[in-house]
Amino acid sequence: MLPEPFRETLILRELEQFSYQEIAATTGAPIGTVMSRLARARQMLGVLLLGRAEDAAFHANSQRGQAR
Amino acid sequence: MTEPTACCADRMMAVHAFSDGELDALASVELEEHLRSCAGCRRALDDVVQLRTMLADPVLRMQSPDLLRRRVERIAGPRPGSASAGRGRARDWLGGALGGALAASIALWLAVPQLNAPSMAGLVVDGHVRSLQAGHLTDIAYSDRHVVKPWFNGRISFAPPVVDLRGQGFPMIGGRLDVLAGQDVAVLVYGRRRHVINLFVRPASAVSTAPALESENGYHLARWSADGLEFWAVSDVDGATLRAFRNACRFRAGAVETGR
Repeated sequence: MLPEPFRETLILRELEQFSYQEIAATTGAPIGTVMSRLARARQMLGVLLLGRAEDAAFHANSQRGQAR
Repeated sequence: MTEPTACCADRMMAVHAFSDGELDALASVELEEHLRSCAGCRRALDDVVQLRTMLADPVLRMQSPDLLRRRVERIAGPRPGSASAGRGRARDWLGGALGGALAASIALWLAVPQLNAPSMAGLVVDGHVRSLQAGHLTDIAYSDRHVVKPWFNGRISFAPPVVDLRGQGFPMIGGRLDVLAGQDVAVLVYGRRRHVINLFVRPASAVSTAPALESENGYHLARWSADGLEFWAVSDVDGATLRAFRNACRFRAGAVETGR
């Protein structure tokens, strides 16, 4: 299961079809954080669903690079 | 293992924003140009689209038990006339232990208003099918928008924005006139490999609807409004591709209007 902030962002975007602005307003997070959480949430889910090993490798890279 | 399949780290968020239609026109154009030369980012975009397609599949959606659904409906009260009343409560249920299940329940429940114009969706699909069956796909078969756009002059009372989406993988096939719900509409026809996308354009009604993606009889539809016009894209391409088409249309139309 994805950590709460990532799950929350993903649910609001994919299930509720909220805009980034609406997600930011709902969660109280800056829009840049919404964007990074969404990207990270999808990467994590991509590893789980698409099972791409290289995604996991990239995932680790991006974690180091983003650090937010 | 070599690195070329990895997405550029500094473009990852832009790729996601692009797939969400949240990237501004300038950044979209810049990213599109980058995508042409970067296999890693192209693949990342494909993966995002694939993932989002999977997430859009109703089979993957959690179905809450009837008892829980009834409890949610009781807590939430009578169904509101619009989605906004439900959105205000989003914070309340997100923090709870039942957050995921409630989100899925409310998502299903909120999905209902999206289907509040089935007749128009049905008409658009009928128009799409008719155009393919009758062999009357285009009145003017030209891939050049500078030819197609002026062709509508004098034939209809509005000027549909005609954008070149060849770079986005949607070459123009042509245009035609059609009638929807007794109203003259412009139809722009685009291709996607062996599929056809009909883009119906008509003056927006007073009760213009919010952008939405839906499906009808196996066809996908995307609708949105801009500059007083209402757009309905319909095709048998998958939902993610149609979403990409919609995004490309909106961004390119914006770029054309501002002279970029």
